Amino acid sequence: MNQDQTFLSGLKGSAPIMTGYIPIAIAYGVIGIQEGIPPWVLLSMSILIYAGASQFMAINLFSMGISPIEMMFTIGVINLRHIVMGISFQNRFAFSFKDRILSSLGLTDETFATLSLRKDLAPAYMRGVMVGSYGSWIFGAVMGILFGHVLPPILSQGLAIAIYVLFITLLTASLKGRWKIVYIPLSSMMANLLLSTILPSGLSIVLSILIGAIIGSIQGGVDDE
Amino acid sequence: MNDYLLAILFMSLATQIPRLIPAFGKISSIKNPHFKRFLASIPLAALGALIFPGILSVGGNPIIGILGASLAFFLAYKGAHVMLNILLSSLFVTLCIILSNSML
Repeated sequence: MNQDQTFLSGLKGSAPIMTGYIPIAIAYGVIGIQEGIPPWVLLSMSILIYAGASQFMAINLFSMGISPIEMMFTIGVINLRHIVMGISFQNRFAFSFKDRILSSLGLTDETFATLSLRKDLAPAYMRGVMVGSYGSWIFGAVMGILFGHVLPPILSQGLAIAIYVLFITLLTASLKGRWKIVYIPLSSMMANLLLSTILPSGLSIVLSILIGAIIGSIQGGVDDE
Repeated sequence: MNDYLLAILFMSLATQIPRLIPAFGKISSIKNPHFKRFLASIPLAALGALIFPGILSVGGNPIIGILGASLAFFLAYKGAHVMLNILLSSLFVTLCIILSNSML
């Protein structure tokens, strides 16, 4: 396959992420408008922040009248997990510097989950998945801002499971044939269950990932690729 | 207006800096097997923490979340394509929500 075809198959490969992103992004646009946030602010956040939980949080923070500096720290805590994911990701695939920057800016929970379990990853395929996901996130926000009021809420409630289906599919596929390492995701789940009761969710997730990975590094069982 | 601009700028930095830090590090030279296993375990650990307990919030009722997750897991285990799985699981959850709304 040439570069363009690989890029196109990457775009197609982002379809499950798009299915998850578009309804969430529409909901984001709708809620933002309802809270009285100007459309240009909502759209700029989708382009410049590109992180679901952070943007929903930002809508809350705007309506609470919190200062920009405080907002920065709150959002920073939510996104600490991307350092951990990025280290694992960049260590696994030796991209060119340009592709490292691109894959870092496009790194989300979903693109990381989709790409990080692959044995090898063509840069053009990675670009396709990243561009498709990013594009659908912005597209959804525009749809939400413009036409959000016509979407039946029950539909977006039902589609809330889309992202989880993606995660569950990826987890199941990566455990097939090596169920003995199921203790790694199970321990991060348990850690997150406990920690999320006392910590903000962003912090709880990053600590739980570290706990699960530390247990994995002690117990072994993950093939060193 | 100014506060909005400043807030967007600051929050953008707060999201993009954590993303960019790993692009500049060169740690693939670390050969310690424990550390390599640690890095290799991160994707699986991340999936675990991203699924649970977040899935319990789907449909506004933990039972709906658990039922939806069970169906998605079953279909994934049987090798269903992820898009088919998303379609069926979303339909199932939508039906569950309609059902639970009508029972209240």
